[in-house]
Amino acid sequence: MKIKELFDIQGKRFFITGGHTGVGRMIAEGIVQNGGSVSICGRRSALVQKTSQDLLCTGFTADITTDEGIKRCVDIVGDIDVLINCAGTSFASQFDEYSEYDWDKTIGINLTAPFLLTQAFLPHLKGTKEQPAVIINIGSTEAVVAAGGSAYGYNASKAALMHMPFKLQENLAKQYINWNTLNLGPFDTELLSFLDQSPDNDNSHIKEHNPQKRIGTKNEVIGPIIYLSSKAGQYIKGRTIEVSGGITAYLGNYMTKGNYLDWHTKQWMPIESRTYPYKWKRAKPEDPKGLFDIGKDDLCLCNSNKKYKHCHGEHLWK
Amino acid sequence: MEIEHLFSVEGKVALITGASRGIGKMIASQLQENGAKVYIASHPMDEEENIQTAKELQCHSLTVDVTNVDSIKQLVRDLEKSEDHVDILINNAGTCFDTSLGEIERKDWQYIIDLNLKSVFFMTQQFLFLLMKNATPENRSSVINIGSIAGLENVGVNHDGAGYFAAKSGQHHLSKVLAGDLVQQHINVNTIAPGPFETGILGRRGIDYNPDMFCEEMNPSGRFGEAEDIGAAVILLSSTAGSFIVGETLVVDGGFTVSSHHSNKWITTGKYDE
Repeated sequence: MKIKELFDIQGKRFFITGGHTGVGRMIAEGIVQNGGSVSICGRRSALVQKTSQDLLCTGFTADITTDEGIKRCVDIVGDIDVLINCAGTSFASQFDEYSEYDWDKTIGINLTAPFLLTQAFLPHLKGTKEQPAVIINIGSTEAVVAAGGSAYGYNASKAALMHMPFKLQENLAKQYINWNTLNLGPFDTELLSFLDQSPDNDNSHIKEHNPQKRIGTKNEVIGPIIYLSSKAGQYIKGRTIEVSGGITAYLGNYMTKGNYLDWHTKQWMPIESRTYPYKWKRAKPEDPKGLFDIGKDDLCLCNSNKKYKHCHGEHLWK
Repeated sequence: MEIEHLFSVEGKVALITGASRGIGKMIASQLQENGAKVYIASHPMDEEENIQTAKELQCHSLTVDVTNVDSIKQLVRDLEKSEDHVDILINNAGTCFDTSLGEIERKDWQYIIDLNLKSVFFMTQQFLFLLMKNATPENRSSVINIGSIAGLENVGVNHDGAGYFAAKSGQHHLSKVLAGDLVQQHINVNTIAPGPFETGILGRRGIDYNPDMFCEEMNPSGRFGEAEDIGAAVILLSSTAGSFIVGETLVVDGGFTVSSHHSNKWITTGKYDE
């Protein structure tokens, strides 16, 4: 079969949670460009509005951690062919200080929300034997390896997210619904800029420690999404595809370089200095807890020493 | 990027081993249809069938015994007569005997391991030069090893193919090791682990094999894998769309291994090869 036909997504209806920013936005853009129709939801209304205007797709605000938010999504979006569970967050602090709030918030957004949202959308996912409906979870390589940092809830939630389709796949497959996970490595997103502390803010540390010496491009996340959403990937069920440049396949870079990322000093440190149990030190006492939990008057995480509200555009909290 | 460009394999030189029939032939047909320059190589014993397949698909026929390093070197020389590089190397040739534990002999064991595991290493080693030739960070070469769900899980308690299971499992891990080594040379190594495809390897499984039961009860997809399923996975891994996928095992099994039905229903006796 010709590629154009095999990977065709024209006319398919996609719903992407967290499609207003980061990887979600990249996916939305690629799908719109190839003739799919897209709805996105997010919590930051200005960003949602901007993205939906830029991409010419449907956008609305909804907090999918609440029952009302999920209901709102189902009411607005209705029947779909592909559901992409992309919305996610991360909180980090040292092990003995990692609070219940951090844990609940992370698990709530990364794990509980996709589960309940998928449940709510089941009546609206109509697949046939020839073309099953598709659910794709956006996971992370952090589900498999802890490459650095101390985002305990994040690792646990992503591992659980990756496991969710295993359990449910058999029942869903009989209703012609495919459920898979994409475990992503580093892509140029807000979450990555949070991790990145290289001097020129160009992700050079992250690139250096990726086996392919780079971060992923837009095309490389769109490709697997289109693959799983079209006829091409319909024989893949309940599985994970890792798109990371080889992070979990190959730890050589970490081993030979002998460095690890210290979350708090945000430096790559020699592995010899890492002792167990790790004694993390906070870089600054006022270091906020998580990317999405910063007050307007807190310092921005980008190390610019500016207040969050005065920092560059995409950090604006609405 | 548009789908045609994102997944394009146009003009890429692909070599597929064991492609005179089965999954290899399916892959060859999909690559050929989408404009790749396809070479299929099979054991000299199967040369006639291979030439027939090459004629059918309008691709090129070569011979190689992948268990023999000298033969692989000869294949490289043969291919170099018409190509100066290879973009996609697909290590697909493989086989399995179902011989019970008490009966398997050293030479049988050796043959299974050589054909399924050793061949992947030496094919990749000998083709490294041709794979590196045109590989750049923007246009990566691909090595795709065809593994099996048998290398991931014990898909049958009655199954006596211990050597095959061990070899496929080894092959999956070898892929990761090679991926780590070759990523610096801009070569992506990945594995595809197919589940049930209707090929000789299933057809000859023996007396109790029943395709309907196999599809309806054991496979949540309710069907066998088809050429498009395996072809699309290869196209993903060898195009721009998949260039950030490294050292990965892509399971193309219609949900077979994640469903709980499979484990005690694989019924096998006898012998098959592919």
